[in-house]
Amino acid sequence: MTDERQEKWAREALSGVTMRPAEQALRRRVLDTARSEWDRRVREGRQLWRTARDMTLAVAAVLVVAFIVGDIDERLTAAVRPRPTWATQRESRPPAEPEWARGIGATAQWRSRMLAAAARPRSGALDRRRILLNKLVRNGG
Amino acid sequence: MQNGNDTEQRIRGAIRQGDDRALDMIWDRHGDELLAFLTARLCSRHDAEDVLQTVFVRIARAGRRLLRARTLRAYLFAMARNAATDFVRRAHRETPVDPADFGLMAAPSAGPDAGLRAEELGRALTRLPGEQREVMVLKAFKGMTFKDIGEALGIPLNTAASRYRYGLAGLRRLLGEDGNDG
Repeated sequence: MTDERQEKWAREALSGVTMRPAEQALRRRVLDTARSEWDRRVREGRQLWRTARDMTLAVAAVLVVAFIVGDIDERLTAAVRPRPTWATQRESRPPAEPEWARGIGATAQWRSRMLAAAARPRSGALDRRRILLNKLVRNGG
Repeated sequence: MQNGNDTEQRIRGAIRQGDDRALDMIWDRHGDELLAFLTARLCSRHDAEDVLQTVFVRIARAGRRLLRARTLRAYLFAMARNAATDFVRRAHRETPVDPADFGLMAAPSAGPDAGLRAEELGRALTRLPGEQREVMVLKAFKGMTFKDIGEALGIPLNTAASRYRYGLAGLRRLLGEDGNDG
């Protein structure tokens, strides 16, 4: 059977027959139920948002308080800590490049080796000479 | 088609704003075709109305998630299909065969034998395969185009057309009007 003839048959067979549309009562029932579900979801969404906001604010407040308390504690500790002496200040400073190492055109490797040696505890001839010099100064001559 | 697109845009706008009038708009635009589809799927107008209510509750729950759908109609039909499947599984039964509950009736302007024909048609429709019945109902009673049916059911246009063709042939056979003109 061709499509045209089938269509013709369908038009005749289905003519005068219709499908009952959705009634108003059904519309009201379905939409009322759906609307209350919609409202519940919106309410729950708002509640969730409020809870999240409150929690964020609480965490932020705790962090701010912790920072302030930490800062105060650090300031108090710094206030009561003894000030560093001249000697400790000097030790904490990196060793300065001696004038003589700069003047003689030393290679970078040699200079770094010499600087490292200068940073080591002084127990060599230079120190012995300085001690001797100090003794001479103390003894007045 | 343009009008359909405008309506869809208005529905999307209402959903985006959280306006519950979106539900009324969805009902006005898709309520009837969803009911027809569910009736065709379940072969029961009564069950279809119950499932339609479930579908609208799910729509209300989905809220803005509906906006992710590329085509609202396809999304709603998928929701209806899933709700119908859940219903059948929960009811532990196959679709009922009760032509009186198919929702077909004689048109007000129809002749005296239209009521009888509606009953016969209903009975024949329930005996068609489900996928042919769905296309038949949407095309013949809701006037949807094959393009719209394909979009709604997530099938190619040609598949919708061939299901309709097979459905018509089946209906003709079931009504005993094969004739000798084939």
